[in-house]
Amino acid sequence: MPQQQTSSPGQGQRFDWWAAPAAGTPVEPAESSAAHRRSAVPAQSGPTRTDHVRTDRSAEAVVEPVAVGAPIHGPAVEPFAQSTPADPAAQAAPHASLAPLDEEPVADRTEVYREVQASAAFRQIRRSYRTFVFPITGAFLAWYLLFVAAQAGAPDLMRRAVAGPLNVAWLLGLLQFASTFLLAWLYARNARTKRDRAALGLRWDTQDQLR
Amino acid sequence: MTTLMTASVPTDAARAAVQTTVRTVVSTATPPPVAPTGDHHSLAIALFAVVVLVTLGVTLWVGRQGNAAEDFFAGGRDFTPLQNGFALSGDYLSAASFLGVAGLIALYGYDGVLYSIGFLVAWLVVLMLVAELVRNAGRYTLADVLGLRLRRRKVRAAAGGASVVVTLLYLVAQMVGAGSLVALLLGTGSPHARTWTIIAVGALMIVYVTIGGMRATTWIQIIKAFLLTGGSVLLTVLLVVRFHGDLGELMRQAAQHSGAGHRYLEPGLKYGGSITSRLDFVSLGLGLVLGTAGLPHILSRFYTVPTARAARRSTMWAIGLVGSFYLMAIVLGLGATALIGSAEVRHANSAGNTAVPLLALVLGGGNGSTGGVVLFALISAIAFATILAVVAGLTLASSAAFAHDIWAGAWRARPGREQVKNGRGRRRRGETVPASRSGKESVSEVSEQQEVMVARIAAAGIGATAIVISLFAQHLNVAFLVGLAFAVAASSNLPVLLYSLFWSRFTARGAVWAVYGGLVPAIVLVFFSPVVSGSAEALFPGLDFHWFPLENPGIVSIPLGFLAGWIGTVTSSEPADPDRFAELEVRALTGAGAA
Repeated sequence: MPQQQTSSPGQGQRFDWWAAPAAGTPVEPAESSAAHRRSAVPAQSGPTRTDHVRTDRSAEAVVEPVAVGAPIHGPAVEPFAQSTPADPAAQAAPHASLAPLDEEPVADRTEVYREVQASAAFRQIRRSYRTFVFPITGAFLAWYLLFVAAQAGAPDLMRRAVAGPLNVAWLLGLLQFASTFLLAWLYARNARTKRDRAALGLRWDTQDQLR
Repeated sequence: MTTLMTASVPTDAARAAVQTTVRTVVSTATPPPVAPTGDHHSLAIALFAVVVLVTLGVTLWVGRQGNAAEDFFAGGRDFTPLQNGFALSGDYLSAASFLGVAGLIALYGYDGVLYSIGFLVAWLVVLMLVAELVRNAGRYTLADVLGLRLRRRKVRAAAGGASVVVTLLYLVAQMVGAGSLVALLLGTGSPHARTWTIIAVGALMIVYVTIGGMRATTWIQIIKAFLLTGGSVLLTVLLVVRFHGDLGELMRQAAQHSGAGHRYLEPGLKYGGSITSRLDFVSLGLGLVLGTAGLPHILSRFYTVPTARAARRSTMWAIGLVGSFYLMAIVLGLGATALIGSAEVRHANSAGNTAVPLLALVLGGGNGSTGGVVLFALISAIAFATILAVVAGLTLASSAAFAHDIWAGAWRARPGREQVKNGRGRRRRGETVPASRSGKESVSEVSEQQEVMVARIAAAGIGATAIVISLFAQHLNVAFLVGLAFAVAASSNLPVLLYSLFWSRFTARGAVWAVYGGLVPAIVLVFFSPVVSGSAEALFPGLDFHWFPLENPGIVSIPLGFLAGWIGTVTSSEPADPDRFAELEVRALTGAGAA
């Protein structure tokens, strides 16, 4: 989606800064829209690019600030905020400053991905995703299958009354609903606070390198 | 869902008998009067017509908003998470869920509750393992995700083929169910009504999909989900008010009128008969929980939002909607039993599909009252909208799998891999396209347009096929098809998807093996199971060639799918390409280069 790429981190980052269209973004001339759209990126990673990328820095250094800044609001917003003032400059700069990047041969595309994959920032994102998702998935699948198996395996336990017309089976069933809602919420919170920001930073950065 | 069709399939004689029973029941008027009168059928027909007109209007309206491949397959990718959350739940909650689950609870109490839980828990798998990664890594279909790292035509053909099989199974089940259900709601026992309903539903879904593509389908899902949620909330509120908010009393009354006493609230009424039937339920539960994440029409919904984060948030909405829906279905099922009684519910329809409409009649003030008639007609119309929406979603997913994966990806061998973009020539995602590829752009624009054209033709073809199969199958018991669709999705689509996303050594051969290694056993086992032959409710009741004891193949075929993928991979002569896995992994987790 073009809109969401346009959504520069400078705007609305406290809320849906992944998806929110950049409401304030002026309409750009159509023919250069692709390039301009990308100008949202320099707005954010512009400083890093000029500093590092040209000097052939790998993804690690570029991304580090973002990844480190992951703890929600305070620090992470800073780089964006800093770079926003530079926006006008960045808008003009990309064409000139990025041209050299394009000279990088296309075959290096896979190298970029390999590099990013090996970077500390990416490994951190992946670790944070997997260490949350894999155990939780195992846990809720086991909890569900145990629940289902218990109907077959321990019918007497299931029949035991708990309160009023409620018995153990109903209680466990309602707990399945509750645990589903709870885990969904926990997952979303984990993703929002631990991963989103770093992943977005790495996304722009990877795309920059791919240009 | 399994239940949806069970009911409706009895022979016409039986059906006529059911109808008359209903009428006589009313005249003897034991519990609250429970039978259709002419009135509410004409009102229901009028509301059905409104549903059809509104959905057609929406289709024509949004169908004009764009003709590019991205519009047709992904609805332009500009839906909001809330909209897509509604659409996801709309796609997921079939009439079988709406009427079937509540009916099951009305008849079997706790075992119906047990059944509904699998449908909800499944969404955690979707949320955590699939939604965001699929959104980031693919463009239109499930096979796109595989295509990103396993660039083989046979992988695409296998995955696309499995998607078509899953959606077609589901589609036939829904359409046969629709035929009986609409006839039931309209109170006609005539076979013609059923035949024409199937044809009309099929024709409508072809129109929605060919004209409106994903955009229209999504809006239809949204409307339907909105109606469904609204209708459920309305009935639940009326019911709870009737019981003065005392749900314990509701449960007690339900148990009392169920004819089973306290056993109604305990496990075992439906699935507790024998060890086999318990094991069968475990198998079903496994299929439900793992199958949802492999359903093509659910996966393709994630491409209608702009980002992975939006995909996550739409899944959150869907979990909230689906979860509250099933909670309400439990209350409604209990209410139907408490107010109408299991026996009456079973009389009206042996699978309980009319439990909710009958409950609406009672809550509205009973038969003959304006409130009752209006509410009954309203609920019937919602059920009808539900049917239309679900079949449209399935047809679209099926045609996308055919056009994008089988035709363009495998047959035409156009590398499905690159983001060579966008029929509109907007090229916004051009940034990840290496310069060397840009030369292909004009070519691919043409082929994207062709792809859409093929998808439209495929939608018509698949729709026509589904109509024909459903017409032939309308007197058969095809209740098992939905369970089979979930089982196939869990045994072939899910293994291949998870391996691709998470296993660095996974190879093309492993992918092909995983798909067929799950698909074939699932179908073969069901073919030799009691649902096809050897029992009174079988597809061919007169024959007996079954040797597989369970009705649900999941417990065997799902492990087989995973196993086949693993064996295929470790026996591969060529190793996995780490570059491509790097690309998939980086793109899936960060969203770099996402469509």
